[in-house]
Order: sequence, then structure tokens, then C-alpha cells
Amino acid sequence: MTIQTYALIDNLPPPVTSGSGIQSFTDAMTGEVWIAKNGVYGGAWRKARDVVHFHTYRAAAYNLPTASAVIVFDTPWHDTWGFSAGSNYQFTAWIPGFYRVFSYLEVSVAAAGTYIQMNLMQNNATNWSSDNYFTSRASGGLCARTQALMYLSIGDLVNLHAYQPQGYPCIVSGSPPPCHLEVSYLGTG
Amino acid sequence: MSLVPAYAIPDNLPAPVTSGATIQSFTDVWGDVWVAKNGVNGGRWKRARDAIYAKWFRNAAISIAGAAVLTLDTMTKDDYGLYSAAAFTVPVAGWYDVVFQLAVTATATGQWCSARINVNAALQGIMRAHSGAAAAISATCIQQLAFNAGDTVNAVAEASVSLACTPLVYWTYATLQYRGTG
Repeated sequence: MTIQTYALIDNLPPPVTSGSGIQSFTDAMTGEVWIAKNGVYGGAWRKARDVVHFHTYRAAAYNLPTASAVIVFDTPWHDTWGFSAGSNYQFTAWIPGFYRVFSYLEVSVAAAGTYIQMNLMQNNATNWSSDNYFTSRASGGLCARTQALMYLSIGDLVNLHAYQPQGYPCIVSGSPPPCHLEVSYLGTG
Repeated sequence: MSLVPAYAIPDNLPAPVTSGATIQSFTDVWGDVWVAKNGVNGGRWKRARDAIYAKWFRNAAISIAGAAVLTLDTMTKDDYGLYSAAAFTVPVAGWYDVVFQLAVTATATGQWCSARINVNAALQGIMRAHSGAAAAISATCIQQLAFNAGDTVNAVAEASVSLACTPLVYWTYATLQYRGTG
């Protein structure tokens, strides 16, 4: 037995079967934003809130910069839609709206009294997260995180800027490794 | 640009689930994932993004030392019974937000505690807090992870020396929330 559940979806365009970019569509009935891309789910339309999730991490040996600079991630994880961009594997927004952005770093420090500072940046120009100083009280693993609710326009880039005064090495073991940047689309606002 | 018909049908949800003990899932033609379970919401189907959420916390006293799975002994919300035997079990594949916060009462400066998230017994995330005084400290590990159905998620607690866990819902807790298919 099945229950017929009818819902009105206002004229979704046909599946996207050519081109390489992500297409978007807003249905008139609900304001829901949909995206589609040639080669992803056969080009079928999917709700953006369901599918726009992004996670990129650092896998190769890497020392944090000693002055604030872009953190170079090197591996996107489950990036079906290809949201990562550029040599830093930063996030590119294909649709405007509010996004939840989070990043985490872990380094191995040799002494107490040092710290990590992190900023989430839009287009390398606008700082969306407060300065976060996470300070060590002993040698060993020093963890830091930062998060922000960001409003992005089409084409905006999101990346992490950070530094650690001694330039200690990131921890890159694990599957996936711990140092990462993640982004999720929440809605239009 | 040609358009498909104005009316579209989310693909015939199955009947409510009225038998068995496991969570059932269904993906409609729009890609939305639905879940249902016998005895929950009358077995009716709900969107996974609305329904798959669980929060548990530690209420009883316990000491934290070497890294070990922490049992969260009290439920805040877990309609679908995701947490059992000290682990969340992932009901459907997809992207999830996972949070584990651990609080302990430091007895001196220079101590630390770590909140770890293990998936299938392997470390996936860690956050460490260092004490600057003899006072409560908390570490919050936050991860967005892609899971397969059946994956297990543990909260693992560790401290530099044996320290008393600081219990209660706002100090030591874990949550699991489905966010979408990706």
C-alpha cells in the first residue's frame, strides 16, 4: 500500500545535461532554492539545503604561518558538487544566502604559553569570525576552532586565515585529518 | 527554456511503519530523505532533516583520565533511539553535525581535557582545553562528517590527570543531527 502525497513544485527546469557549472532555481511557491549540475545525480535538481555541504582538510605536512595568512588546505572530502576552488581548496558560493562556516586547527606545540589565532574570511577581505586565541598551558596538542554565520553572494570565496607565532606543525594524521574547513548552506535569509 | 509540468509528485511515500524495531528510510523523486519507525509519530514518515536529531548528556559523577568512551546516561531528545550502549548509530547515509562537549574540574593550572569524536572506533575529531586555574574547563569538539548508514559514533573523554567530570546538560553532552545527502 502506498499513500499518494501530492505537492506543488513550481515548474522545475529540466535536468542539467550540459555545461560545467552549478545551476540554481528558486521555485515560486515556496521560495525553496534548488541546484543542479551536469553529471551530478544525473543533472537532477536537488534542494540546496539538502546538498550544499562542504568539507576540506589538510593531509600533507604543513606548518602554520607565523603571521596571519591563508591556510592552505589540500583535499576536499566528499565534494560531489565541486564547491572547492583554487590552490587553497577554499569554498566558492554558487548561490547567495546564509551559510554556517566552521574551521578547526590542531598543532603540536613544544611549550606552554603559545597560541593559535584564526579568522574566517570572505573574499580575503571581510572578517566574519572574531579573533580566537587558544593558548597552550603545556606542550603537546593545541586545538583551536572558529565559526561564523556568514551571508555570501554568488562567487564569494570563504577561507581561513590563521597563524601560530612559532609556526608549529599541523597534525595531519587521521582519516580525515583534523585540520579542516566546513561550510553548509542554511537558506536564503 | 522548456519546463516540466507545474505539478510534481513527491514519489508516493510508503505506508506508515507499524512493525519492526528499526528506522526505515525512503528517498523521494526530489532527493529528500524520509524516515519512519514503528511507534514514533504513529509510524508516519518525516523528513530526515527535520527528525534525525539526538542529544544526550552525562548526569552521574565520573572521573576522567585516559582516553575512554564516555557513557552519556541521560537523554534530552532522541525520538528515534539513535543512542544506545554509549554510541550513536547513524540511521541513514549523509552529512551530519556532531558535537561533543566535555567539562572537567581542573585541580591546578596546566591540566587539560580532550573531547574526542570516534567513528567506528577511529578518531575523527578532537578538541582540547587547558586549565589556567583550579576551575572547570570545557572542550567542545564540533565536526560535520559524511557517514554511511550503520556507522557508530562515540564520545571519548580524556584528561591529563584523573579529574572529575562536570556533569549536567549544559556541561557534558553530545548531539547528532542529520543535515542532508550532500
